[in-house]
Amino acid sequence: MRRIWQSIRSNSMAMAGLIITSLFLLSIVLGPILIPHSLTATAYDRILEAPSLAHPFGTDSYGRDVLVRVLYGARISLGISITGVTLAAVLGTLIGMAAGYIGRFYDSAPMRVMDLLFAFPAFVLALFLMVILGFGVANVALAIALVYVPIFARLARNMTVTIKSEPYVQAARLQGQSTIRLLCRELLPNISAPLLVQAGVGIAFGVIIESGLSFLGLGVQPPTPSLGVIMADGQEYFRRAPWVLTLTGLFVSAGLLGINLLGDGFRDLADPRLRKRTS
Amino acid sequence: MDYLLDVRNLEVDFAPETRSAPVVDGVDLRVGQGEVVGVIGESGSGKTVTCMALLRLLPQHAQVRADCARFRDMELIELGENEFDALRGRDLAMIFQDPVGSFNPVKTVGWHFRHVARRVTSKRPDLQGRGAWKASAVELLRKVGIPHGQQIIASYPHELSGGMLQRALIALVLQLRPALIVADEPTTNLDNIVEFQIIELFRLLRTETDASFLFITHDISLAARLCDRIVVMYAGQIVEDGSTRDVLDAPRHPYTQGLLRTATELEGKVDRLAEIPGELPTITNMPSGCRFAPRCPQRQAVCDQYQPMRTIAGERAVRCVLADSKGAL
Amino acid sequence: MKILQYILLRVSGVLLTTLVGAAVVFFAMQAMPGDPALSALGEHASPEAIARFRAEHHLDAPLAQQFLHWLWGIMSADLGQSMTLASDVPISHLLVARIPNTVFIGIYAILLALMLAMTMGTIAAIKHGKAPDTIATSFAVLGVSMPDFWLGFVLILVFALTLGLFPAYGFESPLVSFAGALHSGFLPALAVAAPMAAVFARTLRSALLENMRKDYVTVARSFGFSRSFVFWNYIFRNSIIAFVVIVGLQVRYLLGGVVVIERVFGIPGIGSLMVDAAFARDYAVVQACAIVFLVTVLVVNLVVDIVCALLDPKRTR
Repeated sequence: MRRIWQSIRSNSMAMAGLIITSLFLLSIVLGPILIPHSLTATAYDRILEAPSLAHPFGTDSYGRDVLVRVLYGARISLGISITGVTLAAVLGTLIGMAAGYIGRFYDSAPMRVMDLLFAFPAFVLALFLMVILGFGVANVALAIALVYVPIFARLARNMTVTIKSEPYVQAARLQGQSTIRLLCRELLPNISAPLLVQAGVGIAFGVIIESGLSFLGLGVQPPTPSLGVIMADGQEYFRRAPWVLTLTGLFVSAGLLGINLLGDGFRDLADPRLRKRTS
Repeated sequence: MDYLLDVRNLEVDFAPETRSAPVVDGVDLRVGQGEVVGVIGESGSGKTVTCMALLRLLPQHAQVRADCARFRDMELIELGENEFDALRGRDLAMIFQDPVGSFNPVKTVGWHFRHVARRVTSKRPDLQGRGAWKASAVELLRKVGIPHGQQIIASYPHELSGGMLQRALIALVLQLRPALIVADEPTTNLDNIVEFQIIELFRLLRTETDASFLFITHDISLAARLCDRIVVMYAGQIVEDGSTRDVLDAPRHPYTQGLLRTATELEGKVDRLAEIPGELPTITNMPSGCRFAPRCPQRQAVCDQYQPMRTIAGERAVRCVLADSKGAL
Repeated sequence: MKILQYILLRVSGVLLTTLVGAAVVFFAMQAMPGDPALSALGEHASPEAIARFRAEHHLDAPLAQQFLHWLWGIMSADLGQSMTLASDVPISHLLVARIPNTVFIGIYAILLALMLAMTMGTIAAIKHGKAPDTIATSFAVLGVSMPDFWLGFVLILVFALTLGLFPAYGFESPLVSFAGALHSGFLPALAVAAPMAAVFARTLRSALLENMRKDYVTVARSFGFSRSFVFWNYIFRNSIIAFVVIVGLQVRYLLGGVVVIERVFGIPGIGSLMVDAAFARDYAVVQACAIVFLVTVLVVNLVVDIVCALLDPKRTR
């Protein structure tokens, strides 16, 4: 823990990432509580107002405060992305570790399936799944998971293959440790750092996938205010009130910038070439 | 004697703002015309950095100073970037430790010969004309013991063995016909038989070319077979300097004595100096006096003070207080 | 000779993957609940109409037979008829009309991304640790943090609505006017290119930095080669292999970006076709588009692999 903290402090970009991410999360958690506007109450006397002190992001076509909707929307989008990426991480890691550890047919068969998933454009894969499963919050999370399973599986598989032959794993095996125990105690801790970094970056890109799908109308459906839904709204009156879409996107980009900067910092830390062996 | 290279009080510092000692400190180095000088020391003693500094190949943050660094009639320190570029390779060349890593992996060996030849075409009529480099390269490869040069020229580095590449690299450097060749542990990464062959090649070259050599090694027995003069480095300083015979027969510095004892006991290759207890000091905890003192079996109270080089006779010099009192050794 | 063998092997791999991918797409579509006839003709269609529709689209045959029929269609460039989106127009016509637009935007975006990335990555690596490096690196991180369709709108706001330099909406086909396509396609291509340029620049920067530390760079300098010669022939030349690999990997993100951006700018391409078909529940068209994207990724990766093999003698010899 201390090592992580020190390396973040020594890396100004990672430090900036930490600060931005903290502010982003803090605003999502506290913002809707502190801002006096309602999420749903419409006010037809203040439609599409430009940003002001009372409404920093302006109002939408129902006169609702955009900022409150964006903060709620970020909760939903982030929730969807985290669910999807977590699912993908668990599934992908299991597949990858099994494939890498057992090898032979169990290596090639699931990995060829992963390669096939990898051959579809990420967004097309998600879109395709939405068509099959239907639109909606849960299915967007599944679509994100489908995009990320092959990435986690490949990463886990390659690292497992490398670490499997390390002397300390061989030694544990010769001591008669059971396979499950070996995978959990010896392999998982040693491959978890890059997987976690990938998960962080994945959450950021998951938000982009969600907002893209919902923006097209193929993801989260209104009235649920996800970031994509809000931006799709903003598109409709983009020429009259460009700030709704612009500021929402700016907020998203800033948040994701924080996450990505932090992810970069951790990536440097987790890079086996830069890291000295610890265990 | 007129020196080809005459460096005085060379100092290299990688982090001058910290209070650590310079990596290379007060090094005097002289190489005569056609002379082969061996620089001996453990890894970390600063011998490679010294040579890289001579060719201005150190990273930009390295600070290099010297009272003088004359090469022929030029002052190396005063040369501008472009003037030095012109000198490098053509007059001062270097052969590196790792032959495999020395080549551009995506180009053939021939590509290297062609471009190296282009460096010197203006002063070499035999390299002028299309494809002239090829004939010269094959000839040079034969000279370094590769009979099938045509085939080697068409090969990529990863297709050749380390020994083969080291020969090719030597041939490349010979193509440039430099006045001074710095060879930095050219056999360390090779196995014993190839090492022997390469050393034989160097022995042949010293008689066949008029180039001078600066031969860097940690293996005193190699230096003994090859060099006219030996310079022993320890912790960034030169501790002993003299003709090969003098240094081998009558070493004056306790460190050299230790080195020789280990070498004779192990009969040949020495990788670790088991005979001398302790370790090389790092730049952050450098002793203020004699740097070898903590490991020295003949340490005295006066060793805590700075020890200058002491000239014994002519070119023979030692950085040890024992050299002052005659017969102490 | 070895390279030919390699190419043949890879081409057969691509064909196999396409086959398996097509099967997955086909059967995934079949596994979907609901009757395509009902969704095409509406809830209240007469049983006769439904029967006719099912017969026309071979919906009553066994699944395997339907698949083989469909597969045979793909090979003979007959992808069947559109069901709902454009009634009874052959899907192949829809695709042929739209593929040039998507290909144009895709290549345009790649070229823009490469230009941006080469400049930013090289400057960042040369000025490592200094201000230009920090700026380029920050831009790179920013690039992957922006939703590409949002960037599209920002570009519209600035360059189309405010400055009036480019059209805000619509696209001139490159088959009609190449200059017009370059002009009207600039903003969409830039929006797709920016996130990619970010990834490319980052890769190039770290590859360059890694190669700058290599022994052969010092050796090359010791031969007296000039700094620029060493940079281009050693450092850049050796970095370009890793760079090309990343370009290949990013194609799947590029095409994803194209799908969204085609909608934003109203470009009639495969991406917008797929989205329209998804809305219209025209599954045959969705299937066809998915296959087109799959084949595109596979072919681009094939080309990338061959280029890599040509660039890296270790792979070919």
